[in-house]
Amino acid sequence: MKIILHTILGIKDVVGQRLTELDLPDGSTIAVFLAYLKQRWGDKLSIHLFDPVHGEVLPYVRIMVNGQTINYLAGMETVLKEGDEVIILPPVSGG
Amino acid sequence: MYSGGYAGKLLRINLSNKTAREEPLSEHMARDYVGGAGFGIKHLFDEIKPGTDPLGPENKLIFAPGPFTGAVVPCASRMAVTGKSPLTGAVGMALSGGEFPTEMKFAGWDGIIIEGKADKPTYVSIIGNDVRFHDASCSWGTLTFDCQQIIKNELHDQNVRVCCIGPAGEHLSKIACMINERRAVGRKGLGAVMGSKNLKAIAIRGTGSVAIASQKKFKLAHASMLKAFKDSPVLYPEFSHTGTPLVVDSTGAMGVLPAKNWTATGEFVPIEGIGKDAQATRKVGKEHCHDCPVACSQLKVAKTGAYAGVLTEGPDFETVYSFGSGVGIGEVDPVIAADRLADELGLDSISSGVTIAFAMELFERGILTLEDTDGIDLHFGNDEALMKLLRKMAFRDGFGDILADGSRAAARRIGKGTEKYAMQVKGLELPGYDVRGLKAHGLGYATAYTGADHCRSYAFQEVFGVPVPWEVDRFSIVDKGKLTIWNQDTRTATLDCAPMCAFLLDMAVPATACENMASLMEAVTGLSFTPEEVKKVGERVNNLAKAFNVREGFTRADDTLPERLMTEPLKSGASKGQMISKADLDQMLDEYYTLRGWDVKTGMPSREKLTDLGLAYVADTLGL
Repeated sequence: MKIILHTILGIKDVVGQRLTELDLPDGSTIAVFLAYLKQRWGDKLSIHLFDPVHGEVLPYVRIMVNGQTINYLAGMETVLKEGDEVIILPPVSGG
Repeated sequence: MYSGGYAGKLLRINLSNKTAREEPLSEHMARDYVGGAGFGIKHLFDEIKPGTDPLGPENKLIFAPGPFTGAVVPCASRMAVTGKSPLTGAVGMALSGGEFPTEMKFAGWDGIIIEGKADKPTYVSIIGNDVRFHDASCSWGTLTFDCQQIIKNELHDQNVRVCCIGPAGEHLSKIACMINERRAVGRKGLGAVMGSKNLKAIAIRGTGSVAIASQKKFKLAHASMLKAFKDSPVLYPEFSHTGTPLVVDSTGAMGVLPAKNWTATGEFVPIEGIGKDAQATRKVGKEHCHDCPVACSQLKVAKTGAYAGVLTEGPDFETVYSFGSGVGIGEVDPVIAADRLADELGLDSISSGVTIAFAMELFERGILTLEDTDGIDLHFGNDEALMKLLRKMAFRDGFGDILADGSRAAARRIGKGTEKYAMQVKGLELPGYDVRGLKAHGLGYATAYTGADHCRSYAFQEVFGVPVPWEVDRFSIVDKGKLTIWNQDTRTATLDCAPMCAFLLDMAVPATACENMASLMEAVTGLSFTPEEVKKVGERVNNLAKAFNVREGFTRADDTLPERLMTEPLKSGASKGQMISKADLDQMLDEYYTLRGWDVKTGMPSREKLTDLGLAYVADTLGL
């Protein structure tokens, strides 16, 4: 299934563009999605997303599916569906 | 009694009779109101009679830094300017950084109260204790940057700091600002108040310093702040290099970057044209406020077309919205040029951009035609029209006169049911967050005592995902009244009264803002505060501001949002389908008023609440 990765700032610089279409197996969860990102872009991306010691997603990185933070869905077990947009936001502030 | 931080005196300047007198700063003022907005709102409530004409000589302007200003505290070269707003009729309070606030402290003043009206254009110089009134005939009519230079030359002092108005303030535009260096006292039309007093500028110079009550405690508090700066994942790694425009990228991704007068949020998202990377291509340097190690302010130069060579300090995120996506412009250079032009003219960049966006929507709808607009094509995205209208607004020229007092006043003059297209609350134009996808932020716009003001109740929990004081669902209205009160009281105490830079709370000490301020108060002033007492200062000042507004006739009906936000769900983007319905807003307001101790039907603060905050005299004044 096609999933859109939407990201900005440092993560966008690693991925190369703001919007990227990815092909994942049907029924993939956010955990699977992140594992795919890790495998595809390696350490360059991992330093933006994961705690280097524990391997967990950094506390200040926000992950949203179609605009909703995954903490208010099923967290890492949130199941993606065709056409979903996954937004990954590094820490941002100001304004 | 305080033993540091404060100069111990306020300066009262009467322009009508050209007098200046010193007044002592009491411990009560320091302890209950701290400084900044606290001093301003206290003086405003106590000294301005209900129904005062904001542009009459009876209105006042209170310039107030705080106890940390000039005391080598990072993020503290700030001042609040307070008066009755001609734009809203409510409390008008705006903050500014730069060097002027620190210079005020070095000159020996904890605040300057301006009252009366000069009989002709005047500027005031304050060199330490020496206050003089000068003929401003040479600077009247000038743009703000030129004005500052003229006054420096006249005073033979290139190091004097000048806060002035431009043509917009002179022409009493109700969206006029003040400018010091390249920084604005931006919102609520306080530049028009200055203009109404025939006051072109205040020039200030000091050679003193700010005492520290306990050097030992100060070193600890200072070190703790700097460590928090370094520990922030965003302050130095990102924000220090890019400044506020990086928020274009995040709000764009979240579907809350307003576009085309809020008709195309999530649909017109020109991140590539006006976002962080585009801004970086124009960066030529940085600026910082006094004693700030972050230096978030960015100097940029436009490179293309008619705008090539124009330099500005900024544009900050809000201006990128108001002169960019808000008016349908997706390129960086027109935004840079408009930012510079608005500063020179002395116009609030948010209100002027949003008012022009309003006119553009009317033009696209056919409500306005070329005959109405002096022949200017007002389709969204027309940057030439933006530049022309800014000038016309500042000088009240032709169609510009209709727009010069903001979108609400313009809608009233145009008629034809156009008020629903004016994106404002209490008359103040909306900042750059489409609150249909940020519910507490929306409640903040509705309830802030200044009108739609992102700085009074910024819901950084929703916008940036900071889980302090708790994690929130940005799409939910549950507990958003409670959250908004937390944001308003914490921000008022630690950012507006201190006053200190908003980015301190958002990025460095979100969880410990009140503790940080309590430590600083004890170290710098010698006054002991608990974090709870710090927060209570915020609650006190917010209640006093509310009481001022209630006394002016504001009711619950004024705590609302533009019709569009309550009836038109977002059509595109990551917040698609979201809005704040009237029922949603009412539910949040009920919770907010109840927790505030205010009457749910009228919004009137209760005697019990006011008494608890040491404001029994306010209850007496209101007849409670």
